[in-house]
Amino acid sequence: MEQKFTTDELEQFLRQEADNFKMVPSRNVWRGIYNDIHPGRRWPSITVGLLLVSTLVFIGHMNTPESSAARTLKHQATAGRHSLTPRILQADITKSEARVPRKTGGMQDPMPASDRSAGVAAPVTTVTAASGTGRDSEDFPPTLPASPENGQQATAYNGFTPLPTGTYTWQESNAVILPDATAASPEMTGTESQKTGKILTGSPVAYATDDPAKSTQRDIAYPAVAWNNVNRSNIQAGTAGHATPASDAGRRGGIASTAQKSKHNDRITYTYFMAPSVASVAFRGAPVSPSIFLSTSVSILPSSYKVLNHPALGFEAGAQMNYAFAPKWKFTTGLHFSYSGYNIRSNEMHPTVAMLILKNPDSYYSRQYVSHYGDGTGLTPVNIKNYSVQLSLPVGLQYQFYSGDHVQLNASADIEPSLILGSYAYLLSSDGRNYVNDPSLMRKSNMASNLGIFLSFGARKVSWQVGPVLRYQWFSTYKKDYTVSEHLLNYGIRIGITPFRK
Amino acid sequence: MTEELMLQGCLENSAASQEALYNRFSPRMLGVCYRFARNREDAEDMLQEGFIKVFSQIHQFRNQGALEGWVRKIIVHTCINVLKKNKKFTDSVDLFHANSIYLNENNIPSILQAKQVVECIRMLPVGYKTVLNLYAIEGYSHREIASILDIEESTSRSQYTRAKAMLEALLIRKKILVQPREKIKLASSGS
Repeated sequence: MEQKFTTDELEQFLRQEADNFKMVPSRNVWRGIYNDIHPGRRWPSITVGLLLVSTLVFIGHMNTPESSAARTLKHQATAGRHSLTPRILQADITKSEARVPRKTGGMQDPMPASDRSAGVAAPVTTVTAASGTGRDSEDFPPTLPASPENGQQATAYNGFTPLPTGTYTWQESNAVILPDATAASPEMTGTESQKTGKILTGSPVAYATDDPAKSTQRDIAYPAVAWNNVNRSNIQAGTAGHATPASDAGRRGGIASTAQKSKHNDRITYTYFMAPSVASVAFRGAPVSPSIFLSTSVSILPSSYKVLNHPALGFEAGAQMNYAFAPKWKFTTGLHFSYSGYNIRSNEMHPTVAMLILKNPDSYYSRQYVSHYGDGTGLTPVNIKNYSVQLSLPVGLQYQFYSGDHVQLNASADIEPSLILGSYAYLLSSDGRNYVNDPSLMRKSNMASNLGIFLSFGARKVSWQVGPVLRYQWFSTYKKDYTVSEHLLNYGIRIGITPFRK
Repeated sequence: MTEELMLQGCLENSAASQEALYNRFSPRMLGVCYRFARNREDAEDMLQEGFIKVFSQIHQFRNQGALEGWVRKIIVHTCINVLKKNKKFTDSVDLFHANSIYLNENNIPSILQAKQVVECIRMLPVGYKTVLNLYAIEGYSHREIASILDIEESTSRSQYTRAKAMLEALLIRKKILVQPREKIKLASSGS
């Protein structure tokens, strides 16, 4: 019975038609298969991923302010050496220690309990502005009773009247002091918690009073974290209740930390650039002769392989982060987008079967294509284009050769692991007569190097950069199965802009 | 590249040889998957899974038949396994009332006859087309089909008979078959 079924004409017809039916699968199918059977060959993407992650971590680390008291104290010495302000503060605080009234048996409590419970801003330590004035610092309540005696001071304080520009060091920050944080930490005593005025930004704030006696005083609010850590350590060491050197160090450390953060930020600049370029290409090697399949020896046709090409326009654009890790050196990274390619002089011809002899590590294999383009010697010339669009993650260095008032001369170099977003390349067939295209031979990733020299011109808010740049692509646009290597060089003018950080 | 070179390269896990083998057989194998699958995406998933099995089991190929036949067998089994896993087959294998299912054959594209025939096959209910594919096109016996699909042999026969009748009607309506009673000798044993 089954034999009758298999010999049935309908079944024969169905089988014949079904066998004739073919569909071309999408390239994703092969990619999925390849990734599954060759998991070890994912290293390029893994490497690029790791590089990306490590770069992001590095950038994040560079932008993270140091917050612990230990780091604060550690940076204090550095900040003290390199910053004028901490030196002033240190001197002033030392002076103030002699004058600050101390209560026995505990920390001083300069603010009345009623004021604390009223939800007013926590008191802040005052530091004498200029050592030459002879004025001492002292704590004073943030909100004073509205009496004729101190009315002006209270008004000025509550109104956060900033001091005139140029008189004080700490004026750029708009820190806001939050209400009393007494309840935040039950283990803290009144003064300590009062001192723990939370500040939304890390920089100290200066206030002025109209009181002649306090006219030169400067009230500086310190970051809460530094206060907390340092005061608690003082309490444990039995030094609480005094404006001890350690607690002063904490204050100074808070300032130093802020200065350090500001210093960190000052080291980072961002550059946005565009570099129109011209690409030129050279080829090395030769295709494998078709005779490879006829004899055991590999014969090369060095003279028959000639790609007639001429340059084409391209460009590179992107954003770059610069981190100054030494006086003249900067580490650079960012994200670049580039388009580069070149034109091939070809000629149209009737569809012809062309063959590529390709090489894998162990053996040779061939592929056949239908080509519409000749080697450029025919009668109907036409330009065909090889190009690639890449997204790069550059990592490099920048060196400052010269720095004038408004002009700088810099040189930069980087390497750019690139992801190929799109590419198209015609390959000259093994007999050197036709151009064929095979998307499966295109690389998915590449590597390039950038070398540039540029002048920087400082303007009011930005710095302009102009200079020549060279970009060399390490690997061919196509895979190494095709034995001819392509050397692509882009040369252009880089125009960049770097906004000054506020 | 000859089949021997390709096979040798695949045994050595050469990516180029594997790609060559894939390029050679994938169009036809996707056609096979497409007959079993609900849509092209499912077919490509089946093809991918099937070729992964092909490359991982290629050392089991003994050169006792055509390589294409061996690849095809793996692909077909993969398709069946996918249908079973997704319950697309078992949920609808018992379609005794399939004649009442509305078939919108106007959706069948009239590009090529082969494609039309395949699209007509794909219009059948899953149970019908699976048995028809396995029996009429892939050449499995009803006993093998029953074993593969975990159904009774009689069920396979009846499904095939109904599938063939429905397909014949479809092909006549699409004017792919002309006067089938005269040209095609239908087996009377199943009906």
